[in-house]
Amino acid sequence: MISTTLQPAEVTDELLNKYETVIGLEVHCQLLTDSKLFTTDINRFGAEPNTNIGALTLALPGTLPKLNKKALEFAVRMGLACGCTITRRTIFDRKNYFYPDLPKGYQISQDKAPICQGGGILITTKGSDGKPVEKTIRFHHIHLEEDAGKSVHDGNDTATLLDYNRAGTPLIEMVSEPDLRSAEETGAYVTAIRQLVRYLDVCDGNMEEGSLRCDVNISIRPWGQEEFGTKVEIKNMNSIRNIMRAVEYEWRRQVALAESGGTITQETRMFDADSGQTYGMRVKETMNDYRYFPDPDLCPVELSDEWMEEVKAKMPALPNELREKFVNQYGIPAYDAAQLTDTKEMAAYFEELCSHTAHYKTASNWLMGPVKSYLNETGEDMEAFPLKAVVLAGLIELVETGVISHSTATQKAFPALLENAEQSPRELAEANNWLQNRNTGELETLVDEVLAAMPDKVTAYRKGKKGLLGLFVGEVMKKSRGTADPKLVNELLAEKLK
Amino acid sequence: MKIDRETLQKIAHLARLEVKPEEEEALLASMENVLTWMEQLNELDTQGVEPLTHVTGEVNNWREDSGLNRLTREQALANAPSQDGTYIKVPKVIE
Repeated sequence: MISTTLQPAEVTDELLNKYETVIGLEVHCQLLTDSKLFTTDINRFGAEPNTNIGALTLALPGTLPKLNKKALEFAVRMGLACGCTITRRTIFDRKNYFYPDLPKGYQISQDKAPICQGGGILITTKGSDGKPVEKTIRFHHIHLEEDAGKSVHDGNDTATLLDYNRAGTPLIEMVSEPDLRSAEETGAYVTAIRQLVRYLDVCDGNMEEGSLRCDVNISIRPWGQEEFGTKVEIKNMNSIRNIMRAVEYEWRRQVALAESGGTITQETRMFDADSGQTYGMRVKETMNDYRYFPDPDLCPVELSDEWMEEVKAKMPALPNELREKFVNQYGIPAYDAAQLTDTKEMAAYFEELCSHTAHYKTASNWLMGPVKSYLNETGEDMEAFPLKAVVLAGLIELVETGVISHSTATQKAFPALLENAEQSPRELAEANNWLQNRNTGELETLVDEVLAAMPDKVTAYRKGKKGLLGLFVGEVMKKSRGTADPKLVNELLAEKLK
Repeated sequence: MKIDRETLQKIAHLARLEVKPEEEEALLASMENVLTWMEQLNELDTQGVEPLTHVTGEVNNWREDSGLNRLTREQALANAPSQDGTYIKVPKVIE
């Protein structure tokens, strides 16, 4: 029997193309609050185990939860950025289940009245013709809930060890509609969410530390079929690349199974990054019965118009808005704008740069070229970039006004400024004798000398061998030991050779 | 309302309670009694009536986001049935 079963790796493109893949995501983001969702315990990743746990987190008798206003505001901020309808009267529900990572025996979540409903996020993927394709992935809703503690299974032979620092920390969970169709789209979706939560300062988006996590629901159906196939949930991906690998593998596995006449069972599978495969959890799957009901310990929340206005007023500019602004106001290409709005730090730096120089496209080139190379080499974020925007703008001005050459600026001045960010670009250039010679009188003498030394070439040029101009420029540059401003030399030569 | 033994055992399991066979009769009778009494509510027409989730009318009992740990780790772990000074220990939940 085994020999007749198709293996995921053996599935041909022809077979894959018979099916449409349908994917929906649940993305959890840990909110950057100082305290937990319903108590004052400190909310911080990486603290010593069980040092941020108080009476409420431990579910001691007589404790009562009290909502963290900031967490609510963060959830609303995300909802507003995604065009969701904000639920103006919201409540919290208990989701009942027993697992040692939750001392209470239930998780406080939202079931009937999640804080945000509808909305969505724009993703960009590369189309088959190489051009960018935009698509909106709709949200079903966003809700607020508390996180569970962390279980350590491999620290002890007979016991599971529990660290409750994370128990009760605030999360938003974004539940998408089943709008995604491929690994690329899924990757683009998580990338867009991560970018947005970072812009909004609601979550650090660190997938390795688990502050942004996602569960993928995936099913296949023959093209044209309206009814969804049986969905499988995949967990345990700690990077966008692994999410895409998991989707790719699971898609092939399901097609292989369907083509071998097998049945896809509804289950939760774990992704293993080493093998690139998904594995069933081999636990008895019983239908979860969470018995949600409104938490009587938490009174409803009613958001006033005034409160909503306050939150709206604090909203930072969003990547889409900045992209548009960069194209319209600074006249840079859409590609540049997308690159520069990748992180809000880069976007802010570009804006500051543009407040000091009017050479917007040149400024963009500097950021996408030398600055990005520097960040890649050092592994630093834009936040740690040593040069102030005003200094880099000064360097750009020196090049644009012909005071120093572009190559001197990128190869000598820029590295020197990175070494010592306190220098003024002009003083640096002067001290190192990098200034281009713009003394017309001196340059004229050099030009005359060069032309006088090559009378036959001058005649050839005048007869139409215009390509010789480069030779003359080169000779003048040589005589000036590279200090001449090539633009000026060109002008002078053109004049003399008339 | 009739409750069968299977439903009783399922509810007991969800609450992690062990119900012995000799206790079943009494519990079934008791549950049926409660549910029958509650069924009287079905006589009311609740069309267009919002579910009442909370009775006091209080809203927005929230707090500012300010972190403060009120227990030391030693205090927090003191009442755990099993702990090693760093972690709380429970019987292994996976193989």
